[in-house]
Amino acid sequence: MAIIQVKDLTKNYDYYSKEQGLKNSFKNVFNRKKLIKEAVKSISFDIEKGEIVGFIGPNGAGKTTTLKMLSGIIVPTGGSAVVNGFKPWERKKQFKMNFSIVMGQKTQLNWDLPALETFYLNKHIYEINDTEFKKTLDGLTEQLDVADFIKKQVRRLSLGERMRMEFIAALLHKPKVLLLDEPTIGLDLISQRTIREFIRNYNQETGSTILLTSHYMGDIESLCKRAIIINEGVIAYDGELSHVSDTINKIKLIKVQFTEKVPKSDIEKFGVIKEYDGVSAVIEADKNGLKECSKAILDTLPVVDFNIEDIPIEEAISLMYEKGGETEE
Amino acid sequence: MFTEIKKHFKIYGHFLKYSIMEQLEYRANFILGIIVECTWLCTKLLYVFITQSTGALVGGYTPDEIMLYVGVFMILTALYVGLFSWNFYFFSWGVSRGELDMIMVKPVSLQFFMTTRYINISVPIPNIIGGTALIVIAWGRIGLEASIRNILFFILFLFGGMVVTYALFLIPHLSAFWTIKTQGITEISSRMWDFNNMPMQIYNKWWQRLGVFFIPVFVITNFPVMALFNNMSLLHLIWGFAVPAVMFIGIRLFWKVAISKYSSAGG
Amino acid sequence: MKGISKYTTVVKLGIQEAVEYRIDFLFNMINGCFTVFIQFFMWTAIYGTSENDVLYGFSYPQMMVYIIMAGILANVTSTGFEYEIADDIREGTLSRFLVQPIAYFPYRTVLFLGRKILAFVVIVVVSAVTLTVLHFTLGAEFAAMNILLTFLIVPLSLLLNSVIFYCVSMAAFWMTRAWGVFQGMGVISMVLSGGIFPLDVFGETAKSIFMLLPFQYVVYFPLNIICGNMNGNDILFGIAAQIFWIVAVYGLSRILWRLGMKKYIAAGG
Repeated sequence: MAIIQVKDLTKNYDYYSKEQGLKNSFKNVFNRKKLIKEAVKSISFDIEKGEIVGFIGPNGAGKTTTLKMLSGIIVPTGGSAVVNGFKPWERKKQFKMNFSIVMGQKTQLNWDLPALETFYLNKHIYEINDTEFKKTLDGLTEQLDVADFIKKQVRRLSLGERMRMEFIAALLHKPKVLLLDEPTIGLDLISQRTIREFIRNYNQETGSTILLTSHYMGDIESLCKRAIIINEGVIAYDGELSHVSDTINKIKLIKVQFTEKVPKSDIEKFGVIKEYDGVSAVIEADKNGLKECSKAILDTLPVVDFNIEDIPIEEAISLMYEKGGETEE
Repeated sequence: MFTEIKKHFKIYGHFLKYSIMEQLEYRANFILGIIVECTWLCTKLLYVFITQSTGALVGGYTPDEIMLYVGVFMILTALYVGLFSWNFYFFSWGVSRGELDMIMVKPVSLQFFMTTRYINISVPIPNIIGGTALIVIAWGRIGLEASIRNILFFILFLFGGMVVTYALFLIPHLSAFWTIKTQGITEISSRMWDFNNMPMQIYNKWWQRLGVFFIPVFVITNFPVMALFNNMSLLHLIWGFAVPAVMFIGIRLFWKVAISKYSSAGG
Repeated sequence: MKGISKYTTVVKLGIQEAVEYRIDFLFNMINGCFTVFIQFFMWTAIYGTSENDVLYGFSYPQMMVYIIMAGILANVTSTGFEYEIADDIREGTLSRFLVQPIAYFPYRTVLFLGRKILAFVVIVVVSAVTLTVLHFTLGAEFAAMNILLTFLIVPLSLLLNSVIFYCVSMAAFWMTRAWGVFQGMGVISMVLSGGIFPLDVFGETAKSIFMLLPFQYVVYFPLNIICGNMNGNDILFGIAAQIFWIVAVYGLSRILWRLGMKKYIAAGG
């Protein structure tokens, strides 16, 4: 029996068209036009106990909305979800006792106090006994290497330090299900890596189930075997991550800046031009020939700045669709 | 049930501790808060001063009885501002910024957490001191010999007044679940508090009925004082016990409706 | 004339803001009504049981006129720009005015008066209705001349209150958290200007001290004219004193401004 079962889960937001100006504000009081935005459209998936699943999609695709429904923060418009045996939005105590969420954009820590105080508060909220609390806290502080900051005012912590505190606060009660929404957003590379490693170890040691969203493919690639891709509220892909990363990594974007104006015709031979304004260009290049291609560009063109990047997730998704189409034929 | 209550009491203890720690962190604000509140206190004292100097009966109260009444009003103001009003203000702000998310997922009452977590220490200090002084002085001058029963009722109705305050003044803030701009509504509702500055008997019958039975703002300060002076009608007595229960159940139900509208703004 | 035209632009800006924030204005009015409502019933109760028909030198109809008009007037004259000035000082926006050919004080005052023009029009209408109602229900008597005089004086009251609070806002040069001072001063000036009760309630001694302060010329003085408690000479003297205070407080604020600016520039703007 899967620990997270999602079936036809749907969320619509009502909103009102708003025109600028006071006159319209008055008009809106009596006569507002109601519009509906379908944030999540009838999605279904199952997650087995102990899995780490990456939830990928461009901004506004419905990732966070789905996570919020699975946390019970918002109530879905339709469909069902069972997490650890409960409907999350019924907000049963037993559900909350075994559940946790970390959101990179939100904090549960009190800014004016040391993080330790929030831990104590959570100790009471989650009814953790003294010995258990001490054992867990010591373990987590050691793993995340934060013993020095635990008594420092949260306000004075760096983002990376604070994020680690968020993890401790979220894990003191040893949740069986853990949702992570952009847990590494805005972090420096070292903090990103520390948190990644921590998540992996935590999953292996405790066997907890983790659903993770991230902007960084790096996070997902290093943690998850399975990926669910959501785009415009529908699931575009659910399966092996390697399949996704192959597609994404198959094509790279080369961003170059030149010291002087370079004619378009000189660049075209290196690959498909995505953007061009004379002194800079974005070129799509096949991964296999990337090395040679880069070398050729650097050798023949007057380059000042050179970068190789992943293609945006949106594009990867459309690529995957194309590919899917090909294999079916 | 009992363990849940015990747990919430423990958590409240932590809230108190954190509030004190936070306020000591911003000492200048703390002192300024006291000073500003003192000026407000003086305006309340003016009402006492006027009744004392004219010697007129106001709504059937002698000047000394008015003094006692204003004293009780100050104590209730201290409780309202100290325990609730800051939370209520932060609340609508928090809803509009989607700050309930992280609390909603915890095994603790969201309403309890959101409406009681901050306890203001500075503002109540002048009110408690001033209010107690007025009550003690007035009590002596009236030569009040209240029976145990009356004092008991006084305390019960004071507590009831607190419950009514909590429910009545939280309602407008819950509008934050429907609309972002709550400032005007909450501002007006908070000014309603001043209706307790003078006994309700100064208003005519219809206003009194409105303020007792429909929007029970008069109940808050009037009932404890009336109990102390032993001049409550049977209807008022029954209502005095019923209204806190009615309001509390009402706010619970309204809360549940409101929270289902929560859309968790801010991504 | 060119020098003036830039200020008329600021006046327009103020009016435009007032139109945009008219909901705030409406809420302010309702808030004011609450205070007046309580006062109305309280004084009715006091006059109802008191043995005297005249309390503190006011008959019942006079007192009604006073408290209602005080509620209105206190509302019109209230400033609120202290917080904006404090923000300007704290966030360094002030530096803009050091290079632009528009002086800060006239800018603030003109903007404030512009914001109040709309309120002023509403107030004249509301007051006219109120006074008419009071005339026919309570038989309150007014000399037409006095009413006219009062409305000529109210703009001076506005100006006086704005210079007083301009002066108070200078506190922001020396304090990072000046809001406490603003709030405290708001309450103090409300009481001492007679915005809640006529100053007579404080007793002769206190009143004679309060009469020496500028605050009373904001509310108490104009309302005493309407209530008919002043003769021609008193009124003339009052207007002279009002103008004196406007100049004096303005002078004080200039001094504070210079001292503050020294500190501001020394701190690197």
